[in-house]
Amino acid sequence: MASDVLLDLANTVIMGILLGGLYALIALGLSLVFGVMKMINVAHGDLVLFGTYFAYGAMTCLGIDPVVSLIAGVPLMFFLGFAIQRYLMSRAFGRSMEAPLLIAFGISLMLQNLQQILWTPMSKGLTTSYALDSFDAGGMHFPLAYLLDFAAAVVVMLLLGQFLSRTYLGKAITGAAQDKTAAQLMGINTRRVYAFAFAISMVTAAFAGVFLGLTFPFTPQSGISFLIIAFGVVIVGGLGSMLGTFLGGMLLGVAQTLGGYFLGSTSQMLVVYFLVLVVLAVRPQGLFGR
Amino acid sequence: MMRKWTALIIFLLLLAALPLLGLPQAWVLYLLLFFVYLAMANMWNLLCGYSGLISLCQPAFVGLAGYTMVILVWIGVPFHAAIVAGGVVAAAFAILISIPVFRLRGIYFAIGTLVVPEALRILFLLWRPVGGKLAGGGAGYMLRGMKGVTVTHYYLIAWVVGVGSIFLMRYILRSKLGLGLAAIRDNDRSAASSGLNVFRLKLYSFVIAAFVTGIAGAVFYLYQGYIEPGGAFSIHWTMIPILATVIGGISTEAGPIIGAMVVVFLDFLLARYAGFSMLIQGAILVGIMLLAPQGFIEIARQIRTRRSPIGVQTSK
Amino acid sequence: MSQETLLAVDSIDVFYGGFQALREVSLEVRTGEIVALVGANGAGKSTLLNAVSGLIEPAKGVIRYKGEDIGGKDPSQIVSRGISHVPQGRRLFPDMTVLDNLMLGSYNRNARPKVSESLRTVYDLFPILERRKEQPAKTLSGGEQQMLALGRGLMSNPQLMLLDEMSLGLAPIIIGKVYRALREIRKRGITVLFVEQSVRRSLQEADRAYIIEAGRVVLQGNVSDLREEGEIKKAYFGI
Repeated sequence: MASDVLLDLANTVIMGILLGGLYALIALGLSLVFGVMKMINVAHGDLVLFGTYFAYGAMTCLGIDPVVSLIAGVPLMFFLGFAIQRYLMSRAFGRSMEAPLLIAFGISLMLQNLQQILWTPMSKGLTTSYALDSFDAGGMHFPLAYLLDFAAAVVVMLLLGQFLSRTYLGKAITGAAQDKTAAQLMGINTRRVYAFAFAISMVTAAFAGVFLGLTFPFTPQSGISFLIIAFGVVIVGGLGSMLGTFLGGMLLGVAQTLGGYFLGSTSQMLVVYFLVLVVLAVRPQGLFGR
Repeated sequence: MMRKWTALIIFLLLLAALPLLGLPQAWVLYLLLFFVYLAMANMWNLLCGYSGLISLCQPAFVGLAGYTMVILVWIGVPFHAAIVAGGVVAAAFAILISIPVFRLRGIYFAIGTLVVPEALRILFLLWRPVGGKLAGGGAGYMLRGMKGVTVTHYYLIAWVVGVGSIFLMRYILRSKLGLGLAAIRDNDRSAASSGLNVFRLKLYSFVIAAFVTGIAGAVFYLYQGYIEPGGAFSIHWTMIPILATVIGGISTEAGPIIGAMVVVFLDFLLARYAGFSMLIQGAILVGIMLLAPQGFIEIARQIRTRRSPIGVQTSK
Repeated sequence: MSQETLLAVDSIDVFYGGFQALREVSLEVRTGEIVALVGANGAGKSTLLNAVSGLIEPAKGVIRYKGEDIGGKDPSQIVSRGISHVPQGRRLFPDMTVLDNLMLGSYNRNARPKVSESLRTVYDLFPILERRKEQPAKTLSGGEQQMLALGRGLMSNPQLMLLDEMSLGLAPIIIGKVYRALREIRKRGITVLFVEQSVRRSLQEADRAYIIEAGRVVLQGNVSDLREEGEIKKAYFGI
């Protein structure tokens, strides 16, 4: 029945849009670090995953709900991010273009191995009671997790946006991203500002990690796919605009769900990767970028 | 300088003869690994240290070549030919993806090349060109038809590949390609404006690296005896050459040699702690990048000449 | 007008990699003065300002501000000591509003308590900025951008302002406006060191001037004395 197919497709597309919110949330931290420090943090995916495993630990060892565990997870990730930038990455900046990348690469692998040791390579999930729930609307079927992801993404993005535009530190970060030298001449200590930017990026990663875990199963190796997704969102959505990131996320989300619909669930990531490569090749500044 | 290279050549010849002199098999296998790692490290050095291409694409070459070899052997092709075919497939793949990927610079290139092996990994999980379904539903292959081939034989092939990579590097760096690459590495745009075909030079580098890395990978799978997507396209194949090159000294000829020795030695030391190997490797990589980013070669040079680096004023 | 030395640059060498941009350059700015730094493109004027504000460290020599050695310090520390550098090309934050640009001028901890006061001062000097305060900086005209840059520099509550090529790319009428603002700034007790390519303009606005050529100071003195100099007369008509 044509109308059934249409409804199925609409269902798939809407799910893709909701998923896109999650993807935008994952990409937020990467985008912030790139915008401010002109550096792509290749450890980003594994750091998001670290947030996921932290929530997993809280859940399995202490029985704490993953979202609640953010109360501890957020400060932890904040300090971790601050330390990584302040003591590791900043030393690498002056040296060569490869240095920050290689250090991030090393961190990425350390995290992967660490998670493997702590939690085994087996696939895990943040299986709370509500994570498995779903609801129906308009004849379509949605996992509750997707809706939660979208809501979380909107909230975090709004908060971040407000922080960057209204607080002094936020403005300093924005300014340093637009012109580092001018920022220095304003008396802004760019070293500290970079560390804060990285720390905030990690806070968004903490949120992304929890909601990712609620939505999908994960293994210690999942970090790479998170990185590729985040990178894809940043590339597709273009840099510098939160709206672009959001739209980029949704585009990738829809690509994935449609890919899964037509080609089966194992291949759905392939569609995403392919799209990323195509956009990289054709329009590296992104579809909505400057 | 001549004396150093003569000594090195004699040393390498000795290494070739070792299994014939009765060296225990375990050691032979570690040496085999050394030559495999050496070839890969040299190639990564060619890409990153000399051509300015931060490639994270190595697993694609290794995996493709490995699978090509295993599949060809499965259907009866003699394994020497299969190894070469593996390299050719990897090189052809490099040409194919160079089109999208070379439009990217620096870090974009790095991540672009990161996507490729990951996509291939999923592809090979789904695709099973020859052989029936595996009992457990897995996606790997055993290496068939290698009865009667001795470990010594494998070892000598590895030796050829590893030593060959050293001489290949020597040759490239002194050729026109090498000079062109030196110009590109320092500044892409000014090189292009002085008439160098930047794309073509990078392409040569990339394809050569793909070929040799592929062959080295095929040799590895010869030794391991089975292949599956997770290991074949694993980031491990990026980590090893990076670690070896960085430890030894990036952009130096001897660096990868020393680095490969250290990495194999590390493998040997950590054999009991296999689960921790990437953790330690990652930690070493971070440590070296922070403390001695120029690698061992540079440290050795500084100790020998007992000179402290001249401070150059840099802007903040 | 106090004759105390506010800024003393003593025989500095500055290198960009292998290239020597400044050779044994010495310069003095006394409290309340307006001093001009004149020279052609590439002579090293901007480099000198960059060395004072901490963007680059001298390889040799000393820079003293109020008696304290500031050579090699971070720009953020130098700003909080009362030096404000308005760089060449203005370097505004293009996508941030006029108001945000000004607010960031007061970022350093000494200036922040006085933000509203400083903002009032800047708006009084440049009323157009108040009118355009919600507009992104990149939408302003060249002259307005220069005024914004000056205003932003004032927000850090400085005692010494370093102004790099304010007239770059501006129409003569606008340049006149900008330099009138400069005189207002001086009236408020701020000492100024400015960089200019135009000898004529420099001699008009400054008390003293230094002429720089190829990284060296070739001529210096009171503006009234310099006007009589043969070399200057040539340049005066030439530039």
